[in-house]
Amino acid sequence: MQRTVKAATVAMAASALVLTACSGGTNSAGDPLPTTAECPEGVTTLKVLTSEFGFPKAGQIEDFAKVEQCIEFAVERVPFAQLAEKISVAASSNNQPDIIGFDGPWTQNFAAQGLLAPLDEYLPQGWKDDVVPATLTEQSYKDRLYGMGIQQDSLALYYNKDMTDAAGIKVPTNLDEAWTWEEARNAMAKCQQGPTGNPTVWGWAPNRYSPGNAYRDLLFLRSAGDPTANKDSSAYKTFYAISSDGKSASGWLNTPEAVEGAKFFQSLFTGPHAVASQTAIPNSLIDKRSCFDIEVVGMIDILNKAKVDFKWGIAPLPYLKTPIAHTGSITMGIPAKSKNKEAAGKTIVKMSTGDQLKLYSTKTFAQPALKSTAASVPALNEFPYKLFTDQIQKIGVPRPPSPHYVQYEQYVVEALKDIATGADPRGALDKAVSRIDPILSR
Amino acid sequence: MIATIPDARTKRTSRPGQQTQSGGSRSRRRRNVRDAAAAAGFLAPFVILTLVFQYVPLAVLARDSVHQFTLFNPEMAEFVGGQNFVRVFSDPETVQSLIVTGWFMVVFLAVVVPLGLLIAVYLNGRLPARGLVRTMVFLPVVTSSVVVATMWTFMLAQSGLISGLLSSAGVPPINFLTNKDTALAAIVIMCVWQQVGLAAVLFLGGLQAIPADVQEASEIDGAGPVRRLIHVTIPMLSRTTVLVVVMMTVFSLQVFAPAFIMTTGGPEGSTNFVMYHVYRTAFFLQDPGFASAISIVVLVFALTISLIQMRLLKMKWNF
Repeated sequence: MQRTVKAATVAMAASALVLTACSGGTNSAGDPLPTTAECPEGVTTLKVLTSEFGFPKAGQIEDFAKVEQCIEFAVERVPFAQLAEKISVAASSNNQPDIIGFDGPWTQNFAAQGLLAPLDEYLPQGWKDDVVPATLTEQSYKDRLYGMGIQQDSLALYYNKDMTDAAGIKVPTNLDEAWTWEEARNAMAKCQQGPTGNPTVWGWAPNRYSPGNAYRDLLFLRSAGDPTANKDSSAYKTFYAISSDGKSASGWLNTPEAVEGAKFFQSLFTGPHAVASQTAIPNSLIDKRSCFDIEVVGMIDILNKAKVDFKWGIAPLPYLKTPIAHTGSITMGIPAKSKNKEAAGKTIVKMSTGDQLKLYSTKTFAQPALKSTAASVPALNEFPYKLFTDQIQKIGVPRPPSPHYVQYEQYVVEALKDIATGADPRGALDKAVSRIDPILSR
Repeated sequence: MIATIPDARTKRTSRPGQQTQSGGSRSRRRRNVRDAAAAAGFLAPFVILTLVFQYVPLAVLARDSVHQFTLFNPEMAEFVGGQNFVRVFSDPETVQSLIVTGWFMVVFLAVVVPLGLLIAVYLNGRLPARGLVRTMVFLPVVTSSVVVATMWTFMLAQSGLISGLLSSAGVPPINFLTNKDTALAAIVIMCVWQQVGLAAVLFLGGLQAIPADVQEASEIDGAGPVRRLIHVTIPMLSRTTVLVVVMMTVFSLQVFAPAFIMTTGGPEGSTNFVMYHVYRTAFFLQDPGFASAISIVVLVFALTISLIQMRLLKMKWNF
């Protein structure tokens, strides 16, 4: 009996020693981490919830693994359209991911609800001076930073050069020569083939988002404003589209200038001079069903891979009164209830700065959120990528920042969609404002 | 319930003279207990699943409907009593959504029920290619709503198939899904196309259950096909009609995919069906408490409508 007790004691002690030896470190919740020869402090597996093509991308994870063996990833990817719902549902569970990939403008929503942990303590020195201002505005809330941006994107006007040449249209290719929307509409009308309303080739047919997409179409309203005007003027307010404290849209989104912008936007899709399709036509540019399309930098890769049999080009975004381009892209953050906050924070910083960021930008030609990285990648400083770099750095602004951006966007999208299909612009904007304001003031 | 049904074998063994009264009742009790235990064992998984996946969510829905919170931070839910229910009837978007759904339901039922019956009558006759037609009519029913909605989106798009056909016939193209006067009608047509097969198959089952001698008797009495349909077939199908009407009513209240995929509730809210409105309110507008209150109102409405329909269409005789 005594021998049995002794043996059991020895076995327990040995097991305890083995367990102690194996667990070199613990996560934020105090759970031990498994160790390997390369990682005596333990291997941390970060659970990631992101979109199909969201951060961290597969290539980034591969590159990261080459320099950091002690971090592993368990990635769950969902379609972008379902990402917000999935994050909402995950937020109320106790088993939260360690990193979430999400759209930049959602940052303030998530931060205001306590969903995200701040990243400030992990930031390298000088980061805030180097980052594109739009990223800093978009991903900060109450002076704390919740996302680092990795890349920035903007839209540009793609065109079928064979068609524009045939129509005798000379398209500008640098920012200083950007068309006004009036000029762009004339070019679209000249290039369009077939009867208005049912052409064989559209002037502009969106290939992905039907009219109403806030990233693209809210620009028609904001561009009708003027950021250099008096701060109390409606022109100034139109440009920002939301009050500076993010608590009101009335008098910002439905100004006379915004209504004029909305009327112009409507004229592209309805009426005798319509040049744009009211519904998206997938691959419209690739299939030569459209002379122009408005897309992000990723379209370059799509056109190259499609090996289209026509010449194509890229022009800066047209404007009404003030040149403007929305910045923004998907980003990464740490859920407040993550059990691996420190490891997640350091991973996000490493992927969003230095060699890892340069590697990513060099491979993908995506515009980095850091100006120094953008300057260090030669391709980003040559046409066509330079056009995007210039737009982001010179005329880029984030979508209207607000802790209720998701709701704000929903009503803006619905209003723009209705305007494009014939609703009274003033009525639609007033209605949107009447719905948005009670939410913003909560 | 099952355990209380007298068992024939138990009855036999408890006959006087074969066993004592007390021994017989003990044996019967034991058997009843065994039967009850077996029944409970078989039923338990389904009862548990129903409780967990139907009634617990309903209880959670009821709880959420009297709170205001966001999905990002449900811990900060605030009790608001019946405020969300008051909003259901005062919020213009929600009222519009209920009206749109009501209109959809009325028009959809008015088309799908008679059309389903006519197709069933056709399929019940001795006509060529009946099997093929039955398959063709039923195929959309088993096709995913998402696939159907996506397919019709392409067909009804501004540069889609239907616009192309119209323009080749010299008719100016119609933007069905972006015009507030045609969007709802286009979705009704799509849903009728998708669901009429189910209505037809249900009616067909009902038609085949009508005794042939009743039809023969009416034929001998001189009733023509139309009179037979109106005075014999339709009254005798009332039980099936109840089933079809209730199923189609529930379907029309649950319509979601067309709004989500084809129109996002527009233009100008003309296709903002109540289930899409609930989804949009909960996930896009981050107001799940209000969305829960709308869901409860719809649930009560669906139950009431179904009860009224069952009462109105009650079968007055059996065959």
